[in-house]
Amino acid sequence: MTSLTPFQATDLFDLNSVNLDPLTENFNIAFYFEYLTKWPSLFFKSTEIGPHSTQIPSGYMMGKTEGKADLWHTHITAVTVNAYYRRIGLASYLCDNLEYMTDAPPHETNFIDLFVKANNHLAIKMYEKLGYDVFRRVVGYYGNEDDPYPDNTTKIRDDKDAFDMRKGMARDNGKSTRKDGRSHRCLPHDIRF
Amino acid sequence: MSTQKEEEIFKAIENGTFKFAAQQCSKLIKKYPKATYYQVLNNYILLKSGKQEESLTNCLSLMEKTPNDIDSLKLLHEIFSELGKFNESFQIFENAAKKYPSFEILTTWFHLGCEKNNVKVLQKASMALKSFHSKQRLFQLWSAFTSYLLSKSPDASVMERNIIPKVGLKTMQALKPLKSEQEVYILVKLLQVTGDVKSIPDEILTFTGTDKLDLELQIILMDTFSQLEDYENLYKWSLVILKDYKLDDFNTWKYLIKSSVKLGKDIEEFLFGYNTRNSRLAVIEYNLAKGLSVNESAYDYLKFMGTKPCAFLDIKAYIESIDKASFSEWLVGNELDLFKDTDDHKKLIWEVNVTKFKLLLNRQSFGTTDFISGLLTKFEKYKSLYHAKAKTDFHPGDEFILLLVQSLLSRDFSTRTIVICILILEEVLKKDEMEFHLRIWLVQLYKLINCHSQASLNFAKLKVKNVQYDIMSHYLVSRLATLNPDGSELEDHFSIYKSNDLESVYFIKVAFNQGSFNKIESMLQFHKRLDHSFLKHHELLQVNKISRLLNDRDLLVSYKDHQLTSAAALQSEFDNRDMDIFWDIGLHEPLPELTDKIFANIPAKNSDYNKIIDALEKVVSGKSQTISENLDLSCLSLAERWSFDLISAVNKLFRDQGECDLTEIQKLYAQFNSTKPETNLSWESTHRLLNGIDTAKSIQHLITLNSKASKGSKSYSNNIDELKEFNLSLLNSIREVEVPNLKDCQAKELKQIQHDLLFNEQQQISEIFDSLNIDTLKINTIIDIIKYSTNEQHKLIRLL
Repeated sequence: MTSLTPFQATDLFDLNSVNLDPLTENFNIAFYFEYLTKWPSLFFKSTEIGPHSTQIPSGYMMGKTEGKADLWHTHITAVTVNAYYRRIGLASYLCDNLEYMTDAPPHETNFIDLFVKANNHLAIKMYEKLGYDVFRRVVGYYGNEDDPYPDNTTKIRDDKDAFDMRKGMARDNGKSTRKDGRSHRCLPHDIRF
Repeated sequence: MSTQKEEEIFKAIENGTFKFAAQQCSKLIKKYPKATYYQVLNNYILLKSGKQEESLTNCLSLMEKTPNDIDSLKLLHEIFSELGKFNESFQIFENAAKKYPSFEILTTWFHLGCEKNNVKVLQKASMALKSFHSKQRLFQLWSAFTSYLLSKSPDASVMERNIIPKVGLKTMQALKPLKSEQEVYILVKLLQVTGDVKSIPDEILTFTGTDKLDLELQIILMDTFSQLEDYENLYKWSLVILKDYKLDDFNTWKYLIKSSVKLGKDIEEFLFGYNTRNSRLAVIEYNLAKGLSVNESAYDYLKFMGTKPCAFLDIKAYIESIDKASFSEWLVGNELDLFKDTDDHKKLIWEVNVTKFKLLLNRQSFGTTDFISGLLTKFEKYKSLYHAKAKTDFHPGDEFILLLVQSLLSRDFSTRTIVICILILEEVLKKDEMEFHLRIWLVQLYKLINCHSQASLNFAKLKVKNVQYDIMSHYLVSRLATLNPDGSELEDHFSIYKSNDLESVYFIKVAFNQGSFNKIESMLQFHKRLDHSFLKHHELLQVNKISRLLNDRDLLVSYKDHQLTSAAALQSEFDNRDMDIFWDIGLHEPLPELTDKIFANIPAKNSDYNKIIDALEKVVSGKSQTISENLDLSCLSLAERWSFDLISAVNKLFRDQGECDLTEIQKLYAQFNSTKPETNLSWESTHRLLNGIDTAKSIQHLITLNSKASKGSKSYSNNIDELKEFNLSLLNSIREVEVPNLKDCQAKELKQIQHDLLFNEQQQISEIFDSLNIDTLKINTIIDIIKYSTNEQHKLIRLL
């Protein structure tokens, strides 16, 4: 019984069942609020009917638009779902709606993209099913303080690298996607828009 | 206006060298007799040096002169705020804005409204900004939107609720044509509060034209059609959303069903043509709306979604409309056959769901031997799947374990059972270390048997951070001062409140500047809920206690900027603590037979706990002489109730000039012995002793405070001496008798439990241990861990 509603700041008090998940990042207030204020329509949640007809969040999507000219695009920053609502297409539902929203005015972006850990095969499969292709491998994207910033793209590690996956909107005419994306590599600083 | 001299003065104030600060300031006043700022600064020094009344009187007369330089206004605002004169703290800006309006004064005033989360100020300041800069569209929008916010404010006057939003509406009408969804949002919100709901659809649809509706406006539009009972449009737009927008939205399905039933339109072909989780649930809604039986549609849904974990929650929402006897029968008939051709993982989820449904339909079975055996059999059947799952996935069979733990505890809530449950949870967590429900239960059980360090270790594995501190930390830091008085442990948990002061406020201003109006109301509410959070207040009260217990003044100083400034803060407390996540398993609801016992160490939700402790703190610090009688004391532990009675009695003694008989007080001291918990291996044993020490220290403080203040008679002095004796004897008895005693008793109790578990004679417990491979070594290891953790507590108390 999923409905789609805009995300509000006070929803952060009701996200335990989603955000206690080990793979979900808990951002600081500023990060969430930046998305709420800069891209208010692209931060939304799925809700379920809880006790006493309350609407409780079962997942959410944080998205944004950025870039210029041909690179004007939609970016999926975070999409996550409560464990009880997994494998029912909810993450796809959230992605589809972001795509649908930003394909229309006033956004009308050229493509939609996201970063996913190169070893997260389940997620990669889901995104491929939704029409996304790997555009390039971002070497060292998920590195932490223990991993020095890479100075070239020769050494790859699936647990540290990200795949930049993209799906072109109709107006993009296939310019922003490529079938041999896995063989293209770049460094984290190359992905700034 | 920050010169070197001024910096010197502020530094002197910070260091407490007020005389020097005053001397420097008076030199500046002499040099610049017309500068208001130095006069205000002088009053700031007076305030900080404790001369509050003098500072207030002076500031009130300065206020009459309508100062208008921004530094004077800001400092006056700070002084009035610290003195609790909140109206005056803003009135100075209002006065200045009226007499000498400038962009700087008006924006500073507006930003202070954001910082203090004061919608009255936001509305007044934005009205003034709108008049000052009449061509600036953004200020017009601010004034219109804040008039909506004010009308919704609980402390708005009748005028503010009725007239102000009409002014806002007029402003928005004058701004037409509107330029964005955000502007339309303000307009429709004002139409809602002024009662002109009928105009909302036109406004939204005129703006949107042929474009797709913005999600926020779409929801408002549909709610409005429903509220207006405009079923033609509700029907039409439901179809647009479901068909054209391809948005499979359950709320929209409900609107489609509602409107189709009202209009007598047939939607069956459309409804049955869809084949999604939402549409299957919509069929149940449809049957409900038509007054038909929902059982068949529920079965259809389960045939489609029964192997998904959400199936239980989805159908539970309709359980009151389902014929329970038929459903039970259907479950029995389909438990093993319905998904017999699917893989084991799906079969497992289906069996978990069936188990939960059966329990929901027959709660009496909960905790019975048969129920527990059934759980164990099913767990056993699927436990090999632990090896097949990804590390970060949760094993659905863990729910059997959590139901098992709940059952065992509901049958016998003894320390022995708690230890058994800890053994079970520890074992399962080895196989499924990311499953947070198991971990939360483990944290809570460790807390109950006085193993704070072990609870803390497990809590850390939950990786709680940021906003989660406010909604999760109560599982660890509730009553921290009397369980583990370590100020450093609060640092991380309290960090969110510091972030709130900076980050939330900053982004509320950004939201106004960016015109993200549909997020502002909730952002203000978010800021307020953290600022007035129950847990924040609770932690601050713990800081007071820890500081007293450890004689640590520095700790108090490090939290001084956050200390509760007014009783109003406690009156408008928001209890954000998430207790529901604890029950987000099994039946997905609190179990009444367990709730009170399992949360015994956590002050009850929305209770008067903080108000009571704050009232005691005020008495102990001499800030108040009485304690309100309207507080509900039922949330206090036995030890806290004893402390409350004793401190109240001692306080009364001083109020009565110390002349009364001490027999009653002596009796209360003696009653400390009767606060012992039933079992030694309980959080209450440490809590009781630390609470006893804290009470004695509090009374010592009261004695010192009152000895200085009073020049009493001889009998008064005798009473004080006697009171000191009682107090000292309590402290000695805790340190020299109670602590060693507790250590012995806990060791004996634990040894007995160890023996019981090693030579267990209960068949069911043996079966559980066998199924989970809990052997002698594992039992001994957990007993050692518990022993170590409780010993840590003893060491700590002995240090005090």
